[in-house]
Amino acid sequence: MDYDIAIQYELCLGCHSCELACAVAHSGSRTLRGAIEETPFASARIFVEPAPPYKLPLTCRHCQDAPCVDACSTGAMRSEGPGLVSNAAGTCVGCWMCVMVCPYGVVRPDYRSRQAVKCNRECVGSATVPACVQACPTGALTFVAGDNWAKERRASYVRGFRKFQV
Amino acid sequence: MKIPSDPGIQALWERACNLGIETVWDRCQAQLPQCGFGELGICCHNCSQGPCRIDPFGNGPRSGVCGAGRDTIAAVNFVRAVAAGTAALSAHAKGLLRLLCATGEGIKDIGGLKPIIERLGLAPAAGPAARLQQLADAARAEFGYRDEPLAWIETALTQGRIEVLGKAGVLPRGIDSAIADSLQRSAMGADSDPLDLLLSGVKCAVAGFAASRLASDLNDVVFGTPQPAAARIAPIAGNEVNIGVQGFDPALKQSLAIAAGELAEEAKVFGATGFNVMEFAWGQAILQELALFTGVWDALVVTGQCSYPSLPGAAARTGTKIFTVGRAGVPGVYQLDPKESEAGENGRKIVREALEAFKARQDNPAPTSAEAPRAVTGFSNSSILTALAELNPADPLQFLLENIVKGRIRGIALLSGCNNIKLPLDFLLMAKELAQRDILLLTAGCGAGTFARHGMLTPEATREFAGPGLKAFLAAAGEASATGGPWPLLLHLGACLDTCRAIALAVDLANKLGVDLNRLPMVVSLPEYSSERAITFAVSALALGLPVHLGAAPPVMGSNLLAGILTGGFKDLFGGYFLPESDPHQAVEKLSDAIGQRRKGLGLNAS
Repeated sequence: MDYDIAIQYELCLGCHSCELACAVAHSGSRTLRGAIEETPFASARIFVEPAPPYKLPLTCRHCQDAPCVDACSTGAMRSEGPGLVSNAAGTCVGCWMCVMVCPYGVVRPDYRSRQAVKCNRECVGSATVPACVQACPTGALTFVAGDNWAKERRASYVRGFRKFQV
Repeated sequence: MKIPSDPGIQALWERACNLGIETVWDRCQAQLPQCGFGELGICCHNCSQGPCRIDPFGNGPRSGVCGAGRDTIAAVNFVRAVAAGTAALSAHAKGLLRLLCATGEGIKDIGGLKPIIERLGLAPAAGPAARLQQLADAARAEFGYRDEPLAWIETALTQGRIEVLGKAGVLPRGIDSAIADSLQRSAMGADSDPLDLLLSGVKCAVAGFAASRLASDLNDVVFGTPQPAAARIAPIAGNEVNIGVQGFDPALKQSLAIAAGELAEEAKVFGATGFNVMEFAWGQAILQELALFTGVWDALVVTGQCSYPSLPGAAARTGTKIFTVGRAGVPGVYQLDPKESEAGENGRKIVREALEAFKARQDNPAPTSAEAPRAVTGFSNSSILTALAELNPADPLQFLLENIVKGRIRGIALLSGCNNIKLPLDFLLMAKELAQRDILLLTAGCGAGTFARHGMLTPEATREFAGPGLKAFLAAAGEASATGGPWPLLLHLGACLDTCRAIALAVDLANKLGVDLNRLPMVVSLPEYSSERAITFAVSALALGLPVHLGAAPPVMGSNLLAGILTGGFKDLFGGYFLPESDPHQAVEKLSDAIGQRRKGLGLNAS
């Protein structure tokens, strides 16, 4: 999987729909009604933070050279190739080194299960897009192949460049 | 989000933090970022095919499931907020009507009945009982559906304004009918024309004005017209039994004062110098939790409207007992019988409990606050006129009018409304700058609490901040009414429900000048509006022809159409419009410009 969640923060309105959808997708029942009655609650792995005047969704970047993978002493945090850093439940011992090294602060300690919790893409099958992206009403979150993103950026730059030349 | 900068409040906030008690600031922080769809007014949850949202960037949905676009959705939400605000004003008016009937001939100002009945165009009946009945009947007839326009509109505005409102189709036929009309129109599949919806909201807001005007009349006969007087605005710790009242319930406030009088001797036995019944939290809703941490409140009474649901939790930590009489319905407080007839007994119960709390407090001395500021409050449209009559008995308004015409006073600004944690617009700075420009300032509501706390409702503030023309006017008026020095920098008209008293004064002035309200050099500013009642008042002031500054854009900005109508389009129809501006200096500039333009329109010196 070489797809990434691209974040266009200027389109984010801070409705928190992505957070809800993420938590529901990681719940036992996978429904909103069911999820709010589960114990313990499923937790979201995407966070909409205030960054005035913007609202900034933050989630795991699934870095290729991931600090959390380097820091993990048990091998729970693993790079599965481009676009996916997984953390295996059960292997994690809760040392929270990954929590400390993540530059985005998107790996969280879950003290009840003593497991590090982060976006693990377990909300999607291989053919679909992540729950947070599906829930986003403005397109601030999109699920794109990294190279296509670069290609689109080049096209956009070229459009601007030509306008400037004319 | 700023904690008010004065050291007293900072200290209380720190005390709350140290005790680990959550306040409005913590909860607001936890809400961030707040949902932009709601901020823009383009989320609709009025039917269960929703909730629906419009993508303001145009990439996603452009209409809800039913097909309502951004303009309709924003209008629906706005109109429903106005209807809720009018409902609150209606409830207050009905409460006073019940109180009038329950009090009967025991009301404070029997003589006040006749002028109101005459103003309503009725021939006063003989004898107080018949007049009471007459006023009660007239008031009761305002709420349900009727064929004629409301008496408290027809006799409370200029003739020109009645015509403007009639032409626009926004003369309400019943206060509660207007609320019902706005609600039914804004239901899914009823009225989807944004302009139509908006006008229904305007009609509802005008009904809200009628309700508050009616309430102020009833208030004045039941309790007597407020008169300017110096008052303390916060208790000084220690030797008094302090009872705070949050919200509006005049009957209960009165019964507390009576019961406190009855038990005064008993209180002295326990070392108290007396009882002190006063507005809780300096009259500022936003500070209600912090006020608990002064540790000097022996009982707190919450009586509906702007009592935070968080109060019982905070009060449980400070050991303060909270009472309510039903309307507020805050869980976790002592519920008393809401019947008007029980007000006396309720008052005694609360005062007794407060005395018990005072006794307990003596073993555990409360942290004392610094000396409480004083304020000259209790102004009203009629007490202003009474005072001015001292200067010109035949024509009380003449002195004020002369000052306006000659430019010694450039105009009038009502600087009022809520406090809003998200809009820390500088009330103080705005007042100082407007006063410097010789603009006569009226105030009411929680905003007035800000001024009181900062010593702005004092003769000293007038001496320090008023421009020369305004200073001379306030000094002359103060001397005439013997309030001890010049009138304060801002004339405090009472609660947010009393903003209609400013309109009443404006109507008198407009009638005297022979112009309609839309030409009067008067503006309204709600720098930190937050409650639905404030939105209702803002819309009514717009409909009555006044420019209305808001410290933040109204929650319709997701619709360019609505934003355009409220900030500009309505100017042609009503003369009033919204002026959203979040910078206090710019706001002063814009308000001052609006006054200048209106002066020019009247052929007066604009600067």
